Order: sequence, then C-alpha cells, then structure tokens
Amino acid sequence: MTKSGAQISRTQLRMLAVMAVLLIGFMVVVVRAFAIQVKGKDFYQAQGEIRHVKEVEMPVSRGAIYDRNGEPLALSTAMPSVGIVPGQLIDQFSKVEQLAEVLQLDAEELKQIITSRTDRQFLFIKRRITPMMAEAVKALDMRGVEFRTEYKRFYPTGEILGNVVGFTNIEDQGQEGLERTYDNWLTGTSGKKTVVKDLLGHAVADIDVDEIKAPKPGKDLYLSLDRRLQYAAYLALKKVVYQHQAKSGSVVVLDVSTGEVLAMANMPSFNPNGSKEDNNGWRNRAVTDIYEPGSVMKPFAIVAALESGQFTRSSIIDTSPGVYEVDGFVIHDFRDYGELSLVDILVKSSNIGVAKLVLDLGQEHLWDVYHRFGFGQSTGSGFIGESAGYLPPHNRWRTVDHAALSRGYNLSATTLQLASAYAVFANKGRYRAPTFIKNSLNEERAIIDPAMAATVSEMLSHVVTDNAGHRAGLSNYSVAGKTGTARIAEDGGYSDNYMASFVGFSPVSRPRLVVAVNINSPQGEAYYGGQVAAPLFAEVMKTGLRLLNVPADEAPLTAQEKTPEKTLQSTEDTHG
Amino acid sequence: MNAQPVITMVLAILLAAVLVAFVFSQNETRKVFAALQQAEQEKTRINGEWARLQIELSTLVSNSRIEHLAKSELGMKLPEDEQIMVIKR
Repeated sequence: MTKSGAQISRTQLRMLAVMAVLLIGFMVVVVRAFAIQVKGKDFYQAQGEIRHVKEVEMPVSRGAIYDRNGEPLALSTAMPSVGIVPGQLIDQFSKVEQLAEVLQLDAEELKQIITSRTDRQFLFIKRRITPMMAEAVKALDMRGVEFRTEYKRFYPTGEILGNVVGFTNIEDQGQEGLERTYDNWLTGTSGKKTVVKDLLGHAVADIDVDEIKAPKPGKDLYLSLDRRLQYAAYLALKKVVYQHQAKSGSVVVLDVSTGEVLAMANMPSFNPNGSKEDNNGWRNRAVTDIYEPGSVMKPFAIVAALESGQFTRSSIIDTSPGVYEVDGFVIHDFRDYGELSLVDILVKSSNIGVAKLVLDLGQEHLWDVYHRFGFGQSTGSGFIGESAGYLPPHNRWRTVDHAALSRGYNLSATTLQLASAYAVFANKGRYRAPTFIKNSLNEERAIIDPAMAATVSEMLSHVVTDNAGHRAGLSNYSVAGKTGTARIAEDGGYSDNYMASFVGFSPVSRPRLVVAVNINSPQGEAYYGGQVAAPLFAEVMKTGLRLLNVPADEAPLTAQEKTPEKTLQSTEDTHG
Repeated sequence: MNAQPVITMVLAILLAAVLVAFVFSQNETRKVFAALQQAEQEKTRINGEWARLQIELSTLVSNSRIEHLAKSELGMKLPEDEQIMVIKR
C-alpha cells in the first residue's frame, strides 16, 4: 500500500509539476494578454490607427473679391502643392534626383533635407505648382510623395487696383489693402475628417461622422468700386504723373448720395500678381498719406464766415494792396485784387480775403466747422492703415496759425477726407462716411444747413465758370470745385515742391460724383493745381458721368470758353 | 422527434446568411464611399477649372484689351465734345 501510495503520490507529484508548469505558462500568457489588451490598449490601438486611420484636411478657398458689377478683382484657384514624407524617401535617392529635376529644385539640397528631417510626417517642398508639373511628378510614381490642394490668388486687374485691393501671403492671409481689412470675412475654415485608408493610401471609409468638422468656404466680397471707371481713373492719373514727373498722385471718385468709393487710384502702384520686392507702390496713398491741402480748404473757411451771420455771399472784403501782415507774418495774394465779394475770394483764391474773413470770427468756430467736415478724424471707411490727418486744437492756435488754417495750412488731411468733405456740399449738407463695400452705407448726418450747402455749391461753380478756360470745366455738365497748390513741408520748412490738387463735383444742379485729385511734386514749369490737377479732374469726371449715364445739365462749352493754354496764365484760380 | 437539431440548423444557416450579408454591405459601403471620394475630387477639379475660366474670361475682357481692339481693329474712338449733342425732352 505504502509503495503503491508512494507510487500514486509520485504520479500525483508529477502531475502537479506538469500542471504547475502549465499554470505558470498559462499565467504568463494571461498576464501578457492583460498587458496588451487592457494596459497597453490605448498604445496599440493608436499605433494601429496611425497606420490606417488618417485625419484628412478638407481645404477651402478664400472668398473672391468682385467689383460692383460682379467683375472679378481677386480670385482663388486650386493648385497642387508637393510634399514629402522624408522617412519613406531615404532609400530611394535615385528617384529623388528625378523628382528634384522635375520640380526644378537642387537635388543635393533636397537629399540633405530628407536625411536631416526623417522625423517629420510631412514637409512641403514646392508649393502651388502647375497642373503639368504635377502630372510629371505623379508619373514618377514615388512612395512618400504626396499632394495637397492649396489656393493661389489671382488679381485680374493687376496694378490698376494693386494698392487698394492689396494681396495675400503664401498662407493665404490678407497682407495689405482690402484683402487685409476684410480678412476675416474672406477667410474660410478648412474642414477635417477622419478616414480609414487601405495599404495603398486610398480612403475606404469615413469614421466618427460626428467629429467631422465641416469646411466653411470664405465668403465673397462685393466692392463699391466700378472696374471700368477705376481703369479710366488709373490710366489718366498714370499719364499725368509721368507727364509732370511727379513723385506720386491719387484720385478718388465718390458717389455723392451713398458715399460709395467708385474708384480710387494711386501712383506709384504695383502688380500684386508679380514679385513684391519693391514696396513703394503698396500704400493706398489716397487713404494713408496726409498733406497740407492748401486752397482746397477755403470753401470750409467760407462756410464758417457765412454761418457767423456777419457775411453773405456778396459781402465785400478789401484785399488791397495784395499783401497783408498778421503778427509779423506776411500773407500774399497772386496780385492785388482790390475789393472782392466772398464769391470772388473763392474764384480768385485770395489768401488775404479768407484770412481777413476768419480772423474776425472766433478760433473755435473755424475749428468746429473743420471738425464737423471730418478733418482730424478718420473717415470711418474702415480701410486698414487709414490716417486721421491732423487738426490742431483751437486753444493752441496763434493768430498766425488761425490765418494759415483758413488757406489750408497747419492742418493735414487725406485725399479721401477731402472728397468726403466736398460731398457734403453736393449732398445737401449731409455727411456720409465713405464705404468700400457695395450696398453697405454708413449713417448720414446733417452737418450744415441745406441752404448753406446750396450757396457754397453755387459759389464753387463760379470758380470754374468765372475763370475763363478753367481746365476743370466740362462740356454739357456744370462743375463746382476748387483748386489747391500747397507748398510741401519738408525738414521743418517749406520746400520748393508743391501739392497740386483739385476737388469738385458735377453736375451742380443734381450732383452725382465727387472727384478729388492730388499730384505730389510735379516737376517742371507747370505745378499749379489748375494746370496739373484740374485737367485730370475733368477727364475722370467726364468718364464717370458718361459711364453712369448722368443726364447733361448745361449747354456745351463754346469754342471761346474752351481756349486752353494761353488764357491759363491769367486764370487766377489756377494759382490757388 | 426532437426539435432542437432543426432549430440549431436554422440558426446556423441564419448566422451564415447574416455574415454574408454583412460582408456584402461592407463591400457596398466601400464601393459607394470610393465613388463619393471620386465625385468630391471631381468637384474640386471642376471648381478649379471654373476659377481658371473666370480668370481667363477676365483677361479676355480686360479694359485695356477691349480698348485696344476697339481702336485698332474696329476703328472706334471716343466722340469729341463737338460731336456730342444733348437732346432735351
């Protein structure tokens, strides 16, 4: 028994040993399985998904920019961009050389990039290539070379609107101009979705439907600009700037009743489709650059005089003998004009006349009038980089400053500000901030009496009709406006360079357009506003009225009224 | 007769049918999905072409080109002031 008992126990022992070994083996399997299934689950699942589940970006295009008639000014088109997965290319350098050749890249440099960035999942090597080039790359049939859709911006109008519309950088973000001003509106948000990919990288199924981020394309933008008028204005400006070898120049065309900017041209300009090395033409000078306007400010001084109730349009001011001393500072007129009515002060652009008018009024009143017309404040057009100009506070004016302000010195303004201020006369005394967006009008507010606006308009029409052969005059249309010829301040004094300008509107009976023109530093004999800026004004205004089909309100100019060049020398407003 | 083997058989056949149907529907899903992908690619391509055509159109109708063609090929010009007559009603 004992033997057999021992036998059994030996067998049992053996059994136990075998079972123990099996048990330990089993335990190892269970523990390992536990480690993988439970503890390591996230890691392995993630690793698996990396190999099959991919987050795919759904690119969206930036909104297009159109003019008021739906003509494109900025468009995005999809272009392929080539990228690489460096880790997958490390062992196929012979093909990398072919790739470099197709893409016109330096092969050695590309290899260098591949070996030094093996940790990167994706790397752009050439962005926005032509479809033909993309086909050539696809023909190489390489592993580790991928395409992404990106968008390239095109500007069909090129330099004509370069500094107004602006441009975007390589990441499709607005950098300058309206592209930057309305960047949020134009920018879309690209969508994201997760897909399962097979071994060849084709997507085979969408997963996590709820987590898909829907792509939101950028919204289109319709500007108030009129491409045809813009083209005409830009070409006319360019011609004048070259003709007079001027440093720069701007033209602004506003719709009187809506405040919409119909055209805005600047020289120098640049082509946003080309290389952007020279940034001289980037600025939208009509909005960003300020200058002392000179005589074009005189109508606002006249408003102050008329509002005081001490003068009417026919009150007489004695301007002889053509020189007038204020606190040791001498003010000159072009010649001795003798006694002038307020109308004639504008017509002759008499510095002494306006100085005498405003010195009788309080400083605060003149300041208030200028302030109401928007000087010293941003117009509210919203254009990025817009300058507010400068109007010094009236309690800091000396008498000399007071007189200087009446003829447009000691304050500075932009061309757009001048255009908006003149629009008040044309718009029955109501100011409306300019806008660049179609049908997005700013609030109107009354700033002078409608009767006052009518009076000043009528006075301004005399500037053109009473100066025989005034170059701002138009056939068939009545014109009201004022020239300016201001010395440009440089290095603490006034230089020999001038700012020639003209601001006006037409037709006077029912004004439709305001045009403001300024030419910076015309060289040569002609530098007066009446010689340089007025003809440009007339050409832009004429085109504008024609394009808008504005009915004529006046008889055509007679041959005598049109006599140019010769009578010009004796035309007083041209010296204003 | 015992019903159990019959039920088992039926269930087994059903199970097999369901599995086949599942595989079939999976395959269908993938095929349809692939078609969707293709359609989306096509859409992107067509959008791109549309943008390119718009650019081509705007180049063709650019003001400078029209002006040049009107003047050089059609002999057109802007009327002089003297040539304009305003008709009042």
